Amino acid sequence: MMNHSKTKLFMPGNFEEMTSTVKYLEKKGEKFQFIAGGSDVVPRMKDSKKNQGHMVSLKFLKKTSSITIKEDEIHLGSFLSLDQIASDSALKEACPIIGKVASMVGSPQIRNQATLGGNILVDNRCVFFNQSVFNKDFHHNCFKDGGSQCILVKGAKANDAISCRARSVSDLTPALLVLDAKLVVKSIRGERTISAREFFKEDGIAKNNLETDEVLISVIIPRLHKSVHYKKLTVRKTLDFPSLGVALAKNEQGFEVAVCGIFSMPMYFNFVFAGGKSLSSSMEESIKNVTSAAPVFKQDFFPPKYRKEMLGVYIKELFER
Amino acid sequence: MVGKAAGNWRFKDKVLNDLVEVVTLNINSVSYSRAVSSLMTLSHFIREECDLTGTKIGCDRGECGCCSVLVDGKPILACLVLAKFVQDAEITTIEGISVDGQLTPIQESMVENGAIQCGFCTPSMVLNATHLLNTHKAPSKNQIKKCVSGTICRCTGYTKIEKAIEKVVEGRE
Repeated sequence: MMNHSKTKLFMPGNFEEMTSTVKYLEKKGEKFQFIAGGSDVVPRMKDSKKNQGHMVSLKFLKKTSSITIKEDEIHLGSFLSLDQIASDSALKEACPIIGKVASMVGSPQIRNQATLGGNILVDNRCVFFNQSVFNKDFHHNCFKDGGSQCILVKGAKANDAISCRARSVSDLTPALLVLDAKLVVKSIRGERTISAREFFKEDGIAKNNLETDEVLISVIIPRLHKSVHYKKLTVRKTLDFPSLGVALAKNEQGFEVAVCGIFSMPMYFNFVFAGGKSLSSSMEESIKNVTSAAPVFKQDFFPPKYRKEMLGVYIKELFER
Repeated sequence: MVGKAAGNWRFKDKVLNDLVEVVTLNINSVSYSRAVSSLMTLSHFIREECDLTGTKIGCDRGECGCCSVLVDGKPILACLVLAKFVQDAEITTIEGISVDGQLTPIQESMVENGAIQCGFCTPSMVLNATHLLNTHKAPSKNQIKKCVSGTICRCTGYTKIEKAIEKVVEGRE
């Protein structure tokens, strides 16, 4: 049995120090996770029955995280706080939707500490997983908690193509998908750029194509001058994760839409209206395609049927804006 | 020390598995050096290690907002931040906002306007309002509503708290 050392928060001062810390932990076979703002990682650490392992701070990214607005694209550092993004006047002018969505996340206090990277990589949520340890004691561990069953989908198996149906709750992701943003990730092996549309996986545990030692360092948004609108369904106007989030951009041939909050990954659709059909029938067909893209489970305050209905309502509403 | 750190914030076996480290924080312009669990949160550091019990812990999951403190002048939730993470920051708790033991204008206004009932959310409300009043000369009603939206109050219905902030703004004009 591996002799694990006591869990610790590592505070590397730069990327080189971080890579050597990661190498050291990997060599020792120790579990670790990265921490930036902490608003997602810390509650998970508290609600987990098992020790989550070491934490490696990404605070060193703060020095290099900034908003750079170029002629053809916008660069956003991943350590920018959501409040910085929401209150930046130059960004408001260049790409208003990003600031607007950032101001809709969590509460004012959370926006002061939560980061852009953290919001994109936020853990998928399920009503059975995001519970206190006290509540979790009343049922067996689910797949996401290292157990052998899914409480939400009876009969689901660990080796199913999609083993976990925890839903994606990142508010910023739908907007980034519609804007065709690129994500820059860095590791010991170097840097790579991935399209946000190819970044996510339809699984509540794996979530995305990020390797364990890779860090999201920046987001590149092309300046396409699209008019993107976003609307989210929540019980309260503040604090809540989206029960449904829809970002939509109209174009000459049809519209692009991205959805979060109901499926296990943020979904992106590009609809081109066929000639000869009326707008309303084309819209109905598009909405049907979105709602039938993946099953919706009872893992939120709002019932699945209501959320599916609201998805259609929101698409229509945003299209007419 | 480990026993003390192993309060109710995480399970004992998990905390006992954490490395104990010396963490130095600058809280209300006083330096506190304590040997604590490496993964201890700021809220528990403030309450258990510094005995500054004005900062309240409600849900301990970032939902109620009662543990708000000012870190470099901005309100954040102390239950979501690891103490070691903010070693280089200036932290202000409710104990640190008064000058020479005198109530600040927002504290006085909250007393006068009946904005305090059980008092559990009051430290957070005061700190959030302090930040708003420090950053905005004349905040709008909407900004005041947004300011109190991050803290749950089950007694006042928020109206009196908003009124207390409005009165301070009126007094400035």
